[in-house]
Amino acid sequence: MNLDFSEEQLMLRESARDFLSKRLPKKTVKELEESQSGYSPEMWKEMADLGWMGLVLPEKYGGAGMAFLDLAVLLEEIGRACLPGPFFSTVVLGALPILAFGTEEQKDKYLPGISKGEAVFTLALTEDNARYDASGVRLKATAERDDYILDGVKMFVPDAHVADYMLCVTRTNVGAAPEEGLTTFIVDARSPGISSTILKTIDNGKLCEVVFDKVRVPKENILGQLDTGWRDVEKIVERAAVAKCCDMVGCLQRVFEMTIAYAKERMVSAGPIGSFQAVQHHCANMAIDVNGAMLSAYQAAWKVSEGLPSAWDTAVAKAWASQACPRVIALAHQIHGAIGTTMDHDLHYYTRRTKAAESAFGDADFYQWKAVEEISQVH
Amino acid sequence: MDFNIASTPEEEAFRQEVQEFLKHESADIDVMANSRGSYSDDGNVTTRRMARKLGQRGWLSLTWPEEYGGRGAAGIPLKLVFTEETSKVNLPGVNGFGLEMLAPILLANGTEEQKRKHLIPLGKGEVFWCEGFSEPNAGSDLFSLQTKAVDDGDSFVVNGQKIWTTGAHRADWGFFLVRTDPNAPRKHLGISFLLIDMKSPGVTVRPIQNMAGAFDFCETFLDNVRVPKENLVGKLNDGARVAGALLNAERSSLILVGRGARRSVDRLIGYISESESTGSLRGEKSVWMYRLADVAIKAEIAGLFGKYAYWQQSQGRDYTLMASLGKVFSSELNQQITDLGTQLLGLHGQLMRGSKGAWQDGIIGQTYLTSHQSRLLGGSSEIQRTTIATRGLGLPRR
Repeated sequence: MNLDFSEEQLMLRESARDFLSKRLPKKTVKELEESQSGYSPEMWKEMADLGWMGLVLPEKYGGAGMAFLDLAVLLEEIGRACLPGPFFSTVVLGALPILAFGTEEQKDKYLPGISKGEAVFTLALTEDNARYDASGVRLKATAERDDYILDGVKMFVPDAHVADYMLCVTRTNVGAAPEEGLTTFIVDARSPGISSTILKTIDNGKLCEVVFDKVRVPKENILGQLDTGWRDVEKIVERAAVAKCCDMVGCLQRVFEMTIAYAKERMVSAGPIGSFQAVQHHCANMAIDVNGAMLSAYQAAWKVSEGLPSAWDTAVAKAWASQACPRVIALAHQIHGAIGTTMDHDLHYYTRRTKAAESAFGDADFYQWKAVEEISQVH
Repeated sequence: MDFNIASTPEEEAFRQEVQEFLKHESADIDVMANSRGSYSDDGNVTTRRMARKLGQRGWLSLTWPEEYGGRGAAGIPLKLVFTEETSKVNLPGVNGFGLEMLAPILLANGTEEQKRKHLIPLGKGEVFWCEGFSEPNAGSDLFSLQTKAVDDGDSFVVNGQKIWTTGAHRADWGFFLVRTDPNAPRKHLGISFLLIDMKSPGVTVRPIQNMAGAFDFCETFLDNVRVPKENLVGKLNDGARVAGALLNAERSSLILVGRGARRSVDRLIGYISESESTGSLRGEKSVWMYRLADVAIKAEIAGLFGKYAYWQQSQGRDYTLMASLGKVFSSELNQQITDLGTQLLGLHGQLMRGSKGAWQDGIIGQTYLTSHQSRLLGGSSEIQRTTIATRGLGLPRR
């Protein structure tokens, strides 16, 4: 047993925190949120130079060859700083799936560009039905000689408006069971027939509606296997959920720190508000939620990193994080009082970011049902 | 990072050995599950018998120095494996007060003679201990205790009353906190730590029946009890610190946090399968399973608090925040699960031991009635939350 991060991981955390605190004051977060692209190409280049995009990619693709747990550390810092932009989409939804399920040719073709910060990727999975299970995928792909024709509409696709490539999950065999007949394609986002519209979301997270109007994709762009792609997609979603938990943990920790500090310094005539038991017990409840989210996210990230079965740990981590976030945020607002509800205060960045994260890659309810599957198997 | 408890071949071999032992002893373990706990008449017989078997194997004293029957540092990972494996069943024979509380205190503060005299029989499973801390007017506010010990030559003469002394009626010895300096400038500076033979003249134990019908708690009256001075642990008036040494002792029991909750969840899943196969399950199976998944997730979270506290402690760091989080969270979870059990069984949930139709000898009603203790024992949830906020998070005290 060893529940500490390694020296390298602690150094990565420190350098990420240092970089983000210098380059990303909340004023910049606001500007990026309000910008059309949602990110800063200059900062993106600097992040690539720091090795972030290729962190978990093998050296032969220009990466640093580190593990998922290292990425978890970085994602926590990114959440803590509220970094907007397509980092999560590119690395977690693009690079990791291609590394896991791509052919040698596909890896050679796409991964070096990701490491260099030259390509933005995303995953087009969900549709207007907003489901993360197989029955939600209805966008059709029909074979036509050496190509497939993709036709349909994806929704809630992160960063599609700036993506160079999308992994698009499609139905290639209609009529089979929901989990069968699904295939993932690597799609050039500039292919004729693709149009993206940015949705206006609570955290300006640049989720898009993406229309695929008879988009032609060559057969060799299939990621993984024809018709049996769902198993891979489940893995992608599971990893994305764990990764999202790490982002949420970063948010929660910062909110918790801000709230404890405020409870110590905010004076009323009887003393600091943090000396009242009603406030103290709110803080203790926040400590339970924040530490539970942290430990369960680390455990799940460690399992993923080690290649161990992680379905149960993912379910625990995301169900807990998705329930803990609104509870912690509500108490943080309660303790901050009215000032915390204003645009001038930093708290709203976390209120909005965690609300969006709650339902991303499966909400608490989704993972509680996953937990039902897990506890049923034991018996 | 590595969340696994055991990793070496030796540790895995030891795990096998423990598993085989538990299988072999399943009859006695089942007795415990179905009796009124380890302090009932039949439970106590089983507990004593099992303690000797565990003691013979050296499993009660794994982490102690070799001269007192332990295996030294090499025993620490084995103790974790033992604790993890035995947490999956309701194993009798492990006297927590002696093994988890007194032993670390004696190892840190005891004289050579005290260690020899008390640790060796404890490790062999021959002697059982109880804890005499709480009093009628000093529970969560422990340092207000009034039981007095007066210096009288080669002995102390002890007078006073203790309450909630769990298992005192079954214990051979007890460790007590008593007031030795009523004029100390601060309450906690006038307290000493004494070992008292429960057969001493003047010790009277009166069991208290809890609302589940069990006799676990006791009142312990001390009436002119003569305690030899060699039974003082640590220095005179230093008892609060000596008892506090518990905090820095090796506490593998931390990894048990959440295990009981998970066992209770599994028991309820067992009920669902059973009643489904006989066609007697009320309501929708999936709805019950969904509600059980909620508490199973929480049991995992509770376990992580315990595991992390254990890790911090083993690294010599302050682990009190994490341990308190685990305590508050798991005790409230325990109550939630037992209540969920009564809902799942519906009308059958009220059937008690001995009744026709009672499921598993009325275990659901039984555990419901004892669940209300869990948020009080060892510091109420309110005290714990205040401690988390003040000691753990540094919020100002009033």
